[in-house]
Amino acid sequence: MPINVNVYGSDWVNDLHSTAKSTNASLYSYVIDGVIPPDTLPDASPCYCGMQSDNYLINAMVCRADKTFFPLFKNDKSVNAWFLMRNYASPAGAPENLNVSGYPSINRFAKWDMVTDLPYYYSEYSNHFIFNLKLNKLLFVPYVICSATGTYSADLSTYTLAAYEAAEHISKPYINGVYMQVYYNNGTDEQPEWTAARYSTDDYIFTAPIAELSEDVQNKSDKYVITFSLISSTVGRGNIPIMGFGETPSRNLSDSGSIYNPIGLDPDTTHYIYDNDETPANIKYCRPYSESAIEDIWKQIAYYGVFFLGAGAGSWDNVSLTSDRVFCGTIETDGITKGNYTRGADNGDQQQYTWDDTSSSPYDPTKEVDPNKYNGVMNINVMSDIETVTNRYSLSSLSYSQLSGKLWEIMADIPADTTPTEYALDVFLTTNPIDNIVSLKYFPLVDDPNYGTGVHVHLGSYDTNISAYKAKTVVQHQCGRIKIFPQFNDWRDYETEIMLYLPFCGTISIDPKIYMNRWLYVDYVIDIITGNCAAAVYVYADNGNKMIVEIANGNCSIDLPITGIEQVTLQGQMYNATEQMKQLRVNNDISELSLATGLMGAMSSGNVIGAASNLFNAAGTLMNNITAENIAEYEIQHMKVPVKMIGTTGSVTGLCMELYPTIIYIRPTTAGGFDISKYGHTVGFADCSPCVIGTKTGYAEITNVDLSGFNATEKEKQMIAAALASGVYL
Amino acid sequence: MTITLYNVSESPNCLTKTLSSGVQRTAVPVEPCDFLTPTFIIDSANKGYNYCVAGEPLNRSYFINNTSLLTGQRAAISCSVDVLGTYAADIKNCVGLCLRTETAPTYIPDSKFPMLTNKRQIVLDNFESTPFTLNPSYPYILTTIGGDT
Repeated sequence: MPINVNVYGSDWVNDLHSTAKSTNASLYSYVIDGVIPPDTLPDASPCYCGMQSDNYLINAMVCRADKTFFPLFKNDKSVNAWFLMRNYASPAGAPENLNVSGYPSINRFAKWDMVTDLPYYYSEYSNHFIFNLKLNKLLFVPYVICSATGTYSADLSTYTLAAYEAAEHISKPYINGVYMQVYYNNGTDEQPEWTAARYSTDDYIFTAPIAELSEDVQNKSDKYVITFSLISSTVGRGNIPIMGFGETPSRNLSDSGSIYNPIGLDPDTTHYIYDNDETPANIKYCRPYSESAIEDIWKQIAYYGVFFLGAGAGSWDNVSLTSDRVFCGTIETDGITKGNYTRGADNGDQQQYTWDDTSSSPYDPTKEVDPNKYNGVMNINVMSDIETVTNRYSLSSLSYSQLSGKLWEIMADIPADTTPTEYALDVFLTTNPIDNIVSLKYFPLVDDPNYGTGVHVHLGSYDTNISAYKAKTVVQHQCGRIKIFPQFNDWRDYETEIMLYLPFCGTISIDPKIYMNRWLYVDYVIDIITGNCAAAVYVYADNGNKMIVEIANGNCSIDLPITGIEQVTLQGQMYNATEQMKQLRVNNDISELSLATGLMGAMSSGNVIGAASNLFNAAGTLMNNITAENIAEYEIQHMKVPVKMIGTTGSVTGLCMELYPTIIYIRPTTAGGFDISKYGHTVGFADCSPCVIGTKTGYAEITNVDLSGFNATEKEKQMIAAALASGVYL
Repeated sequence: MTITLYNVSESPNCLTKTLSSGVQRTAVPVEPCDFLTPTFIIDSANKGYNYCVAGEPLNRSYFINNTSLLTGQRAAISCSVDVLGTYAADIKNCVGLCLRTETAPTYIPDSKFPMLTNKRQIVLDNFESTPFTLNPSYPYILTTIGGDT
């Protein structure tokens, strides 16, 4: 379709020129018909007419650099062929259908002279646009500039980890630029023949038949190519730059500027540093090779929504778009790309696969764009150890047995000149050493909860000389993963009950709708302070991020009782009892003396009755004292040993159960001998899909049939409808 | 009128019948001739067929439901129209909602599927690792108050 001159004006090319040349032009101030309000990011596609990426870098770069095109394209999806090509002399061999007077350059916007006429931001960023491409006819091939001198490129698909580790790390150690070249299919969909879409091996711009020029454009004398890129191109004028780092000594340094924007990094801050003592003069920044770096490249290219050669080795001359070597940036339902991609056969399900060209995109710039990024992640955090006023020790079984014995002899070291109470208070801050023990727990853990070097167990300031380690606060353990694999590949998989048994935490239900065909992971987090354990059950969401779906809690520790004598109390009691005994004996002696003295006194005075009375009284007292003495002695001999218990016996039942997380599948089943193929042939399987009847085969029950288009009688059509509904063999 | 007699083995509810080794004969329709359930008089030597295709003016395919022998070595064949066979090509171009299909089971729940309610297959799968063991190396965690460590 021709360019809508009602939107852009009849002299749109010159209008673009004048606007772009204006040093006062800015995105936010340049408005056509109020299309873009000031200070509002445009929503129009940065890459194609009809697509938009939510990568802020792309949008930001486009906004800053291209201040003219977005307003124009915002509401008009009829834009067909937007090729602005530099007005150079046509080189030999220029395709006839291009009908241009010069070869195009992707580095520059306009007919202006490269350096002097362009506003500075153009020379720095050189953003371009590709419009209305026949995407299912194009294969984008990424190349990586990966040598120390920046001149060597590797086909991204062959720049594999294996190749890198084998040999490439010597000659191609770093990624300092990524670009794409475009290839056009000169063959068929089944047997493509990829042809470089550019004039020459000097990498000059790709050209038609990537996009067809409308007559309107063709008639213009000034023609320009617009392509889009994140950065300026110093990698050859026939390429689409994806990302780059610093300056390279490769081509076009002087005339293209060298503004790079490393993927995922703030352009003003962090850059990867060239990791080599011999820093080449022209290399300032690069990215070390890693699988994550390659994945970042894939993601960035995927934002363009194109089919690109991502992986695999060897010749790709005839790879199809559904080859496993080919990736495709996916477009969300609102027409936005988010850096996701498919690969191989799944590419055939992408909408670009059947588009006529990019104007077939469903993207509607007038619709509100979903502002959500849907890139949330749920992490399990790794905690550092918490310091507390208590000490937690990790003991082996040997140390534990030593501890048990130690508690019974802990007061044996009392200095001779110190009372037990004074000693206890001084060493333990309490009169009972056992009060220093807060708890003793048993943890049946595979992972030792130790950290640091070995220590001795201390009670207060008392060194028990028992070997131990400091105990961690938290222990985390990954139990691995299990794939919830479909058994039937039909609705029966979703009638399957799935349960997940988690040791110490119980059993949870697993919803097949969430987990089917996904890997299910279980991680345990164990609180060493309290013994609480939490089992986190998670999967990876479609955006590749971890998603915790269930958390089950329990307690995996066993409280163990600690017994020990209350040493000081006991000794105190014995001391008091002994002293009491002594006093009683003294008292008894006095009593006896009193008795004798009283009697003598009474008899001396001739007071027989008084003497007798005194005698009885004294004798009574004596008897009482003797009784008390006997009681005291009895009590000493039969003194209760004061015992204290710390904690209560915890449940060991959990420890007696299965210790491995276990998935339990309860699957539907049919009677023995059930032949599913016969069932399908005689009863059929539930379908509920609209269809053209001739596309079905075998047994089918079809209702709501539109029997228009042939001349049967009404009665016959009723008979046909009835027959189809009751089941026919097609 | 001309009819062609066949023996077909397909089920009546099969859209397309395999018509081979047909015998063309002249048939006299019995009046009144119902387009949907006609009766034809044919030479009785041609009895024994179960299907026929009638030419003009009927232009339909018929099941032969019954054959009655007549005098003069004739037979009367009672027919009923096979709407599926007659309009097979047209039906194939029609659009409808397929409720059931012989193609592989789908993800639509099937209430007719004979799943047993009193029986289930139960299988287990353990994870490869666990944080727990009956023989831990450092099983005891002792918590004490303060002091040196």
